Amino acid sequence: MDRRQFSLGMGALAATGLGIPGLRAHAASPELIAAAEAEGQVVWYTTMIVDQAVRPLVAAFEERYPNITVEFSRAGSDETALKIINEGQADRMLGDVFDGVSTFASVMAAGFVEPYSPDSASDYSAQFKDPEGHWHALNFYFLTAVHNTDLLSAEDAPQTYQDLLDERWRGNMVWPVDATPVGAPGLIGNILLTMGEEDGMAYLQQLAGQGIVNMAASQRAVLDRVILGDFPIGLMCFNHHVAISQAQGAPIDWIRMEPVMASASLLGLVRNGPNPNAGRLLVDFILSREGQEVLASTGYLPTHPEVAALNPDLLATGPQPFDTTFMAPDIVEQNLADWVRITDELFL
Amino acid sequence: MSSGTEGSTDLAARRPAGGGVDQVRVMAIVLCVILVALVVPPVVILIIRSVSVTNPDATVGGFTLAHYARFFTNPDLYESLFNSVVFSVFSTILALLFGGTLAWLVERTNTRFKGLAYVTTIISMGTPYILYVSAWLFLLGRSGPFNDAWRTLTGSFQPLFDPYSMWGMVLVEGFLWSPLVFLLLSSTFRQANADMEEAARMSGAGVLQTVWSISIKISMPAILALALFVFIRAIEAFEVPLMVGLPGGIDVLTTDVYKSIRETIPPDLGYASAYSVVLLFVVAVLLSFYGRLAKNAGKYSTVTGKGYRPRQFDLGRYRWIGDAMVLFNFLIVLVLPLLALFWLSLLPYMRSIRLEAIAQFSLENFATVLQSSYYRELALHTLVVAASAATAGIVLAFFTGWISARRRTGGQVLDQLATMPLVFPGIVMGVAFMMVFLAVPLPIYGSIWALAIAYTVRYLPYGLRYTYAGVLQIHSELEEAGGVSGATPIQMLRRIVAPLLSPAILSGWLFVFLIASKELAVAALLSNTQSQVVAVGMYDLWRNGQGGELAAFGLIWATVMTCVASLFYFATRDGDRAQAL
Amino acid sequence: MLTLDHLTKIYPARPGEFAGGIRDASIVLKPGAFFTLLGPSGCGKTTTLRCIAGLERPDEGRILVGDEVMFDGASGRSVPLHLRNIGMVFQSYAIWPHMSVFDNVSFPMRVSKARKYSTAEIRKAVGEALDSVGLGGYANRSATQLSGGQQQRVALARAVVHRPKLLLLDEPLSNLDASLREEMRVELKRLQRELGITAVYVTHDQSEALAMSDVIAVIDQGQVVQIGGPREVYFQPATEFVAGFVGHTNILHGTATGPADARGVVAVEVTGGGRVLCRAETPVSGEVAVSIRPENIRLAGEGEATGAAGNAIAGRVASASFLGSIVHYEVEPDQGSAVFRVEGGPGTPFEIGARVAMSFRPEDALALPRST
Repeated sequence: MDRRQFSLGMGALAATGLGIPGLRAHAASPELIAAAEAEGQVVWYTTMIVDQAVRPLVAAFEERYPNITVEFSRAGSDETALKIINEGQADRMLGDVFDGVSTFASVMAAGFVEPYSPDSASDYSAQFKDPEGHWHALNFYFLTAVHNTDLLSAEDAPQTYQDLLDERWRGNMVWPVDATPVGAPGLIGNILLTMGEEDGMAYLQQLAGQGIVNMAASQRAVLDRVILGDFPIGLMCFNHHVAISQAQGAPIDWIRMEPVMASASLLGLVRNGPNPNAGRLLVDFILSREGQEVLASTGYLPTHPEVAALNPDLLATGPQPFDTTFMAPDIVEQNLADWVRITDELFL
Repeated sequence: MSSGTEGSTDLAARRPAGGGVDQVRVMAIVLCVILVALVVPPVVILIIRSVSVTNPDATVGGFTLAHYARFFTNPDLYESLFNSVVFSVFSTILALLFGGTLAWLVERTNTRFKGLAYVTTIISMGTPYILYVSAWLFLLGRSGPFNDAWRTLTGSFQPLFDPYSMWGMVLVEGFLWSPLVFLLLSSTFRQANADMEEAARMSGAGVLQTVWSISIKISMPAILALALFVFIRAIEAFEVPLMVGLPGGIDVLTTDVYKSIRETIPPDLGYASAYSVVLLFVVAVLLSFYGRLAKNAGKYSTVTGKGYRPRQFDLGRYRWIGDAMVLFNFLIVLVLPLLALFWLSLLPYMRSIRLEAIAQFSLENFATVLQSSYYRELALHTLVVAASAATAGIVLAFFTGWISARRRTGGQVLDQLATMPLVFPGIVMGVAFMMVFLAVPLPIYGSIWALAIAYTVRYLPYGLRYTYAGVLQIHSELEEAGGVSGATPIQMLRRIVAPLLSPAILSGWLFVFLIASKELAVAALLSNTQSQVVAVGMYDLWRNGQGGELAAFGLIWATVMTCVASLFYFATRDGDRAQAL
Repeated sequence: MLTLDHLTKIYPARPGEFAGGIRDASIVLKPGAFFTLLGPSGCGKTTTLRCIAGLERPDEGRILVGDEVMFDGASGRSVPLHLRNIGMVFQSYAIWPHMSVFDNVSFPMRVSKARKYSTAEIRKAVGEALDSVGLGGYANRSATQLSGGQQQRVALARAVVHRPKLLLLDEPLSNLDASLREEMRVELKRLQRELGITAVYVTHDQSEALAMSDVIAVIDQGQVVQIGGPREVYFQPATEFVAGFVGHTNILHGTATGPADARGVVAVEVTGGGRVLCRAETPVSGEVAVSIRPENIRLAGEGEATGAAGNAIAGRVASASFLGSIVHYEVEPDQGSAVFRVEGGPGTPFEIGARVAMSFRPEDALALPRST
């Protein structure tokens, strides 16, 4: 297992805040729009949080294409993958577009992803798209530890993975246990990749003794439990969620517990979906500069090279850079089963 | 008991001369075909899948017993089984103690504030379980008002109790069931003959002695039957295990089935089917016990003498304990959850109950809910699905109920077919219908009609209870008089039975509508983007951390459903409310 | 033995309407008496019984059993019902279905606060009680296996097993078949006499009351209108209501023409025409009701001798029912609208429509104050 540093320059680009001037807003081809409007609707299976990201994106899309309505359904990565595979195998495909961190490995293996490279994605760095067009990265994720600032001051909060082993935190940490790299298995992977097999396992054995509370829910729901004050510390939470809540006045902050786990959510087209053209149009829109700007405005971290993040501090390459472990799709594919097994054995 | 041939000759004799086809027989055959088509496929598909190899592409392969072998050798099974039993036993005891005491106090003593107990019950009938569970989880949570006070007191992070535990599951499930226990036992207590208690008092027994050796013991058969009923429902329970147990790492049988479908790639349909078949078997055995107990439930119910006037126990100086109990119920089952929901609905993110949070109050969540087409669709889907299931179910139940209550040809078969869905825990019915709809070459899977069909089947037995009991109350001579007057059986059903049965039909319809609009277990696996219903939508909101919108939407929805529940309560006769048991 | 002193228990009602209860009832009973509260349903007889039992709390008055004050409205003293040591048989019998016959009957002894009974004592007392009601050998039966008559007997055994001072019976025979009722009536009376217990019996059936009682209190709308022995109540009813309620009678309304003469006979001008001579037990004047029992009227064919009787009314037979030992006639008088009920011997049948003459002696016609 090798460890890759995630330093991609896009953060720096975003930090300068400007795209390449003179580039006009991208527009989809009239043929595609006409075909999509004939279909009239599109179904999006998403893993993003509805009120934070999905609704603004849908609203922008529907404003741009008033004759197409977007139906969406939010679930975790594995559940979304499952739904598509079930529907595909039953020959009852109902979804058109889907996203997620670890949805693609299984859905691609089952043969239910339709390759599609929209024009809008041509500017994306090669790292952020599948060469055959099965997926494009949609936004960045940084997962790290968070703490409730009412319950725990920044000085008292743990700063390193070693700090997590402190007696004080026993039974007072919570994390999401979805069998995905953005759940508990991701932290397992991060540790093993960083510390190596032997030291990593030794550390995890100790961590298992800390009685981390398992939550079968989204990272957002885990974060909410920390904001609520149920737990002083949360693990594997998205730092942009923290920023969104901070803006609402919530007593929460994230910790630069290095290396922070970095990942990206991927977006793609379902094969044999009921609305293939509207699906293409939605993918095209979300990856376009316009779509990415909408996403950025919600506090999410866009992948589009010319769209700046609202809060560059959240990026590893921002004004306050931090070390990360990037969970590239191929690493995930190779190791996820192991990480899930270790999670099951030690923590569940 | 089978009155097959006898019934038909009977009928032939009654039929006016010259009537060609035997209408009742045709009706029975048509019904039988419909019921078989609805009820049999879920069972058959579960059995087939449970003994078939599931290929990697999820298609069905050859015969195997591997799923059962895996099921029985899985050490986790015994843990889940143990959890299920502990959970069910203790939540049943809690619901019975709590709801039963309340029913006795309200019906048989001079406790005050009785109206509050009914208000609580009516509102709880209309409120989705998920909403209750999320409110209680907030209240009992680590930073809920109780633990918050404790933590402030001790200055530690450690809460006094963790609701995501077996203890929390039992508490929440027990509270959830107590209104129904109250409703059912209050009618038992109301019908109890006060002479029985007075005779004991006249014999020299004190109040407590009388309560123990007469009041409780006479109601024991009814209480036992109810206890087993609640126990079975707790074994089948899904909401609490899903929302409390799953995050707390406490698996029970139903969540195991759910996980084998929802958390395994590819879904382990063979294993889930084997699991389901075993669950069906367990519930069937429990139900047959229940059938025996229920037969005895009325064993000690005596015909009351001429009604003197409702006589009540004078609690004397202990009256305040009764008052406190009624108020406690009102507080725990109604006021606190509602207040918690109001609190959450007014805040941009979930916050514990603190004075300074009031500064953040806004109606934004309500605005979002009222403006969003998502919520409109949730509500619309739910109303359509619940109304269709109630209508289809009650129509089937009307004919089935009449044929079997009148012991016409095929009545027994129809009755058994229509009662069969009772053995399905909701989650198992979800698994079965998912596979059925995936297998049939019709575009049903994923649509709201999939839900409507599954709900129709699931609640058919409940509708049948209403119509069957209703028909028994109609003197058969009223029908025979119609026949003698020259009406065909169909005319007789339409002109005589249907109008006379309309109160029972209305009660049954409203009851099925109410429970169908709350259903989560079936919908959890069958509902899709285009067929999201309220319960599933609420679960998603909860899981995805949209507690504020959940609370706002939940309050609006519960208000609407409480109106339906009030209609049910006031439009139906006392006995009819308990029919569903 | 039992003293009721101005006992009052009124259920709240809308103004001017009687909703139930009893007003100002007073009586003193000798030990061993069989006392019946007789009246139509809703008259307050059951309320009175329940006040004695302690199941209701009276508004005013006093209740004494023997010398012990059970209730005193003035002092507020009220002995809790389970300490009154009174046996009671309920209308519905109230046999506990979840217990055996033995458990039912032994219950009062097992819960006794006054003293602890040994198992042997209980066994013996229950055996005796069951024997006395003719259910020896039924001890181990389940209560649900009993017929109505047997339940009645068990209820009786249970009420007397602990030798209470007073036995209360609330319409105990009303749920039995007619033939069984006759049998139980005799048995009940026998048992009461054997035990020498004072009994208070509530019924709306006047024949039951007449057959069993030593003393009858007739109650109408919460008022005790007459207290007396069966014969007194039957032959000397105090009011029109009592005359009509106890036994069958014919009532004529009219106006007394003057005070009674030396023999106590008064002439009454019947409303609608005619004039009858009647006996007056109490001074009457003005509006009166005249009661004539059917068995005291003689029927004769038109023109036949009517005998020595002082009153004669001509009429026409409207209906005749042959009942075996007697024939039951309804006769429409020529004057007035009231139809007479008359009993005739089986030997002298009159056809429907036949002209007849009804005659009765003045002493068999009783002038009474009109009931309002």
